[in-house]
Amino acid sequence: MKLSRANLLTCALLASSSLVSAFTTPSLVARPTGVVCRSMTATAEATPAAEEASSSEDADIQIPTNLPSACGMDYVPLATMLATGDLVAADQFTRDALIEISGAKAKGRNFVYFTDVKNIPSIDLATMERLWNKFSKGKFGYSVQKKKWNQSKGDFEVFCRKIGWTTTDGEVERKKRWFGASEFIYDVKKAPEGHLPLTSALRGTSLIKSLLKHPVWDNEDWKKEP
Amino acid sequence: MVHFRTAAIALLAMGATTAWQPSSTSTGTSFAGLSKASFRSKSALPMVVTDPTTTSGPMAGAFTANNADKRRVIPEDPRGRPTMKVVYVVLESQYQSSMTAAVKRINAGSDNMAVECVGYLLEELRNNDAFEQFKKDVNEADIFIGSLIFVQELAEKVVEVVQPRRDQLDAVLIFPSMPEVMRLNKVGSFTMKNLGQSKSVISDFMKKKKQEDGSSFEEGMLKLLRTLPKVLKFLPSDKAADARTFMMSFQYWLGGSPENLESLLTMVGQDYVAPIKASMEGKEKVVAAEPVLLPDKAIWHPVAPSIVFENNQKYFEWYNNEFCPDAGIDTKTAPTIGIILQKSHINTKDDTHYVSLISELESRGSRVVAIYSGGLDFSGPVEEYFYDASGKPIVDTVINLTGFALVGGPASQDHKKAAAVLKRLNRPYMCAVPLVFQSFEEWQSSELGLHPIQVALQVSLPEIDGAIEPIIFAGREGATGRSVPLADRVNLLADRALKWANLRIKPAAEKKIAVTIFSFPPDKGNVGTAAYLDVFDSIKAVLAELKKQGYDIGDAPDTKEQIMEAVLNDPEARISSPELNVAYRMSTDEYYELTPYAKDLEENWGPAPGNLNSDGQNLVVYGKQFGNVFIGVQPSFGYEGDPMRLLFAKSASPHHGFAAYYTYLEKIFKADAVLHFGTHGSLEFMPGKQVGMSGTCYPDRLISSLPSAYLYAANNPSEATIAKRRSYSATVSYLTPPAENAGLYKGLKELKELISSYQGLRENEGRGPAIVNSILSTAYTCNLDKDVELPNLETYDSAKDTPENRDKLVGAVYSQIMQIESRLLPCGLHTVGVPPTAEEAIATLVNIAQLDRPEDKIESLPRAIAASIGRDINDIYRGNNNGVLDDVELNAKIVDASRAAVRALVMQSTDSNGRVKEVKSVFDDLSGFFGKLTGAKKPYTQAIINAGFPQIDESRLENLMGYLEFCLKQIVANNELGGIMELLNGDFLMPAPGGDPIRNPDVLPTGRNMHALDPSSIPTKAAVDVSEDVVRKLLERLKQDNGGNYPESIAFTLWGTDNIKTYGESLAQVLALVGVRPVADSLGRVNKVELIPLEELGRPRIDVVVSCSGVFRDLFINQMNLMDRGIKMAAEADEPLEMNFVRKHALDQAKELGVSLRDAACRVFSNSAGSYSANVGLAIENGGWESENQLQEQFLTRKGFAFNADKPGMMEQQAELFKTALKTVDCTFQNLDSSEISITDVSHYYDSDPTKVVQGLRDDKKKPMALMADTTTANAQVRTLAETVRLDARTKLLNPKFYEGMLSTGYEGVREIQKRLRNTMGWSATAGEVDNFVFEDANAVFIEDREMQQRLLDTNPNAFRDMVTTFLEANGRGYWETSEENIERLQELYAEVEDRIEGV
Repeated sequence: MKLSRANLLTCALLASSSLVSAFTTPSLVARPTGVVCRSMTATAEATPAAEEASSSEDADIQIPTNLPSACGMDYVPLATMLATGDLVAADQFTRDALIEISGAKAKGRNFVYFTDVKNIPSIDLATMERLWNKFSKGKFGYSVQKKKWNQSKGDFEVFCRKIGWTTTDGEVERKKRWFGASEFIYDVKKAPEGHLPLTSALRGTSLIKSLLKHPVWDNEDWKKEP
Repeated sequence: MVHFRTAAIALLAMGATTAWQPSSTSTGTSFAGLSKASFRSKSALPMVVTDPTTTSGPMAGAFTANNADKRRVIPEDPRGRPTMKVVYVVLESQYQSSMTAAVKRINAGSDNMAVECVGYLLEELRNNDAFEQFKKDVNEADIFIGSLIFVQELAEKVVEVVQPRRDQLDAVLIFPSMPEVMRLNKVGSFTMKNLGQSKSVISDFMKKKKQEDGSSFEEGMLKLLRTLPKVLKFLPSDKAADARTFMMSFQYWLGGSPENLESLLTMVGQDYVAPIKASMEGKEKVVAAEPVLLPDKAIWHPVAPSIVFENNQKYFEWYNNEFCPDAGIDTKTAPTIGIILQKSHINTKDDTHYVSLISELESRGSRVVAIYSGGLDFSGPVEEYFYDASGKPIVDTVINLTGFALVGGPASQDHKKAAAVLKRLNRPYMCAVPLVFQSFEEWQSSELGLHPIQVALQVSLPEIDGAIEPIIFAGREGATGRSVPLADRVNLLADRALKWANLRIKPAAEKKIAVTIFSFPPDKGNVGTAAYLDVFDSIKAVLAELKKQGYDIGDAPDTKEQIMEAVLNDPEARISSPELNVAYRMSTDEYYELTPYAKDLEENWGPAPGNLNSDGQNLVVYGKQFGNVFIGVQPSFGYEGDPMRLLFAKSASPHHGFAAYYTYLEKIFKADAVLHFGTHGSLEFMPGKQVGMSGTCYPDRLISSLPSAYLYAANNPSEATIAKRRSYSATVSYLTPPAENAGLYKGLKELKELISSYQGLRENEGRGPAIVNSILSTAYTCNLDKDVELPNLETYDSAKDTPENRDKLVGAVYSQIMQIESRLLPCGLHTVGVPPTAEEAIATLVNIAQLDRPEDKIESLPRAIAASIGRDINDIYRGNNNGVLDDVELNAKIVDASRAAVRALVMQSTDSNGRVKEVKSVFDDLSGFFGKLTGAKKPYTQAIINAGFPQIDESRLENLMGYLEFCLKQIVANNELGGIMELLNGDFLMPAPGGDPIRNPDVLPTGRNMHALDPSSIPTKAAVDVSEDVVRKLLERLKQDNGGNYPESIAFTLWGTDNIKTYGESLAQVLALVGVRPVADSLGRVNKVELIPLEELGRPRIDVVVSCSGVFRDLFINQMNLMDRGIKMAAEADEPLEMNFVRKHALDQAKELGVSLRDAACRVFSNSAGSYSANVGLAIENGGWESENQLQEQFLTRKGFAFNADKPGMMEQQAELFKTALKTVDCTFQNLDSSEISITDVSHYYDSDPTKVVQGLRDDKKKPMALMADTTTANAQVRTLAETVRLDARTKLLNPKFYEGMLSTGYEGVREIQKRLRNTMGWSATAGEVDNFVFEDANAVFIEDREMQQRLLDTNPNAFRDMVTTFLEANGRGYWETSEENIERLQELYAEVEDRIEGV
């Protein structure tokens, strides 16, 4: 499938507009208020990035179309966002997708509890992971984070430092903010390995731990294109 | 020395820079980067969330730098609607996001009104800029809302601003708050103006409610809420409508969700705000939705299908059958953690911090029952939900995440009820703390850690319930006010809770217990040191108990000596080997692998292994394992002999060996719990925040996930509190050895005999004077001439003197002797689990009987006895102190009668072993019954009659004797072994106050989890009364010695324990000197001071320099605030300088230092945050100091951090201010609060004594007078420091009763004697107030006496070597002049001991 730049932008906007309601339902893990709010403006801000992406490559971008899902999820928007370099939207899409495909949404919840992770189909995780991997040239994705996690010997603090989820204010080290202006780096070149996609620890570190323990990462099968 | 000084000054400068930097950014910068204009323009954007990064930089020390503008909501488009302006002030931030959402909903959806809204967090009002803005906002507001305004000074600020505007405001809604704020309430005709003043249905009801249960003000409000509909019926209809509106508002507020708050604002707006009312003329009112309310109490779970469960059967039906199987939790074996939540967070859906902990626990395979309560009494839901249908507890550990006391929250608590509920449940009870007043970054960068108000409300109060482990688990997100979990803290909390649960679940035979003993000062002779504790004998007792309860103690020996030898190697090695028994050698690779923070220690100690606890290759863990029990020796601080580190220990860290020890316990030995053995070690004093540890604080890193039980002396609640807060230890109190009367010996004994014969023969013109002459010469031999004015021995002949003068002379000597004789001293060392003998119990009870306890309507025994002969005991004391022979005699006779009476009481219950097993009441036995019939007296009455007071009134003694009997039961009912086992078995250990058992017998029985007191309760009224008396005596004495002039300034030292024991007496003394009076608020909390007018004071205001111990600072920072405000008040009072020395000095300082008068009037000093003591004690114990200058420099540098009420979040280095304040000091002053911790028992007293420091600073170089108040007895005294040192030396170091008592415990005993000797020398170094004869006599007792010398050497050669060194040092430093012969003997002895220790 080929898309022009203008279409891509509309697509991204559509994808993110469904998220705006977040403002009045403030309790989100997978979807921090601030980032969501920002995503309206961030989309606009992301334009230079998209421009850069498009100027450095062709105006037309290859979007994979074979994006299998075990639960009828449409990953074209994600592919599109990643292809156009709209990492903010792609990141948000990924977290929202998890709420959907883990069955949390069906249960009337708007966040993923760690016990939901086992319900996430491997097929879907693999699909998203291939996209992240492809468009970040192997820099982003859960599998990359899993590698970092293992290097951190399971220490969440060390892990966060490694993938750039912490920052320092003077001498004080803290986690990057999920509210207000985002402090995360939506830039493939500048961000450290494994920086994206974000998984918040606002409801505990057990969610990301479970995600990284998902059986899909037990072998390399997820890498195979369908 | 020059090098040292230069380096010190350089470092000092560095220290100053770092200390100043944060302050300059933190004050007044809260609005930096966000000007009004920029804010307004930003707020017009669709996104109101402003960029938080612009305002939050490092805010070290500033507690609350957020600003309300972040919470301001302005309608984007009013669409011509009238706009209602709302200002709200809340204690906690969870309302913020709900309010914001509610306002936005109205602005987006309402046709009739728009809302402009701004919110303040109560604590922000301390900031001047914020306060000004608040004023401005209130002046423009239509509606004011306040909730939980329970901080007195801030409540006053709110009233100050809102009161004058009350008439203009359309409505004022105040939800539970201090009464004066409640009185602001106004909804139409509904007011609470008369609350607590006159009759009104509502206020009466609330008043009554409060008195009835005392447990909670808010409970009362809730009850009122439920009852009000009935009350409303009786009110006129318009009034009823207004009252109903208020009650509805309250319900909406409690509901807390955006929907509820929207209804609240709509309702109030359309009914009370004129423009809205007008615009709605003819329109139909919007009917506000009924408040959506969750049940008052319920079980909550983040992923449950229904919001809450109202009974636990329903909960577990879902949880066990659906959730747990899905989550992979095995319901049969999983531990269960009970969690207590605050309803408002669930209402406002501000719950991610709760979800976080629940998910961490569940992902570790444990079950969770999370409950909440609508009010602040959580005991109901605990009782209802934590038990199964059969009444068995379901939970294994309880974590209270509200941070509040279990019953009563921040308002008024019922600790007794809380402890009873928790004991019935019998599970470890942790109380974790969410940051309320600070954002996460503010806490993280603050050296103090948790905000003092929170410490008072959410750490001190829960401790009184028996809570342990005040771990910070959540922060406030700066921009939105939402609570966010701190991932590493929540993980730690989950780990620790499960480890406590594990102690209950794991079979005893498999549990591994690490017993940690201390070595302080670090020297082999000091291994197993602990205050008043026979450590190895106590370990023996603990091992036996462990064995009895099924723990595996392997082949542990069953004698004290063998246990000791196993740890210290074999008996010969005790002398010949420098090594302790090595339990484990940890390779550096293994160390770095297992110790996540090891790299951080390299800055101070280089790469591991370093040279402490190291064999050059590996890190060495000393100790010995028996079965599943490991007895390990805690390494030392490591910088004891290092002057630079002594000066700046704060920047230090534990050394690698120290870290390796705790790594070993947790990860290699894999202890299930560690038992810290005795008062006290170094863990809890490691660098880090004061309270509210972060993951970079060393106590936190070291103890990591290990549950810790800490055996702690019952008389030291302040340091025990540090151990509880900083090293997450549950304490088990132990009894200090019973205090006995010092008694008399040698010449002093002779003197007493001479005096008794004089009493019989004083009329005899021949023998009387002869005896007086003997008394005089013996008094000289005993060096009593230093204490009593004696006539010249050469020229005086009593035969030529008048009988009155002879009496006067004998009376003065007698009075002095009695002081020595009746002084209390703890005899020997305590062994855990061994109650005192009958004899020891008598000594303690006699002292308990000596005090009047008016609050319990108990009269002291001496008072009752004196009354029987028509005398007032105070009168007798006065005569006694003035050396009136008759009164001295009478006093002695009363003392004897008291002892006899108590003895008679105790003997009733004493068995043939001289121990009290069971207390037999003298009131209900048969003999008592028949006694009444036959008119026979009770044994104690008879004893008093026999002692010469036949008129004693038996009925007058009844109350007291009943009380003494109760005390006796408490004394013998120790639960020390029981308490240790309760902790190791995962039970709840009952809380108990710590302190002096004589003043406060509630300290007994021991074996309970010790706590300090509610800091806002001191000083009490009684303490203020006593201290006024002490201050009067002090000033009298000073005036008398100073040519009738008042001193201008007095230097004070304040101790944590001292103020706990006396309920703030010394604190009150400071206030009294300055001439300010503490004022209690309507809840009985002291958080205000007022100036006593000069006319009433009748003397000048005396300036003070207050030096607070680090522990005092940790426990009582709000009281430092109180003092500072009082002092500043005095300085700012426009009074003549000759009547106000505070002002006089502050004006001079302000001029000299170029600061404001207010800033110059800083008089409350302490260490920098997170650091303790002047380290002068460490230097002296170690001998590693060059000159007194060094010690003085250390004192000035380490103690020169000023507290300033205007910047309450920090301790600011103010060396110059400290010096200029000290240089006007005429007198240094300390309090001695209990006999068992006297001035030569511990190094603390001289460590903080500024006598020579002041001398050096004074322009005239005159040494200030050094005084000590002694309030250990009913007959309180103010003595000079020199007198006190003499008294202490005579009753301890030189007293056979003391040193033989110590020696009977062997090894530890020698060390105890040496400790007194060294501390005595400490006084020479810091104050120069030790008489030569003290060293001379000590030398005669311990060194000249060959037999004694040998005993000391054999029992503990290392300690004896230290003793010899101390004598030589005292001589070398010029504190002791003695004969060549003595010095030679010491030198030879030194060589001999050295050889023996080295095994030559």
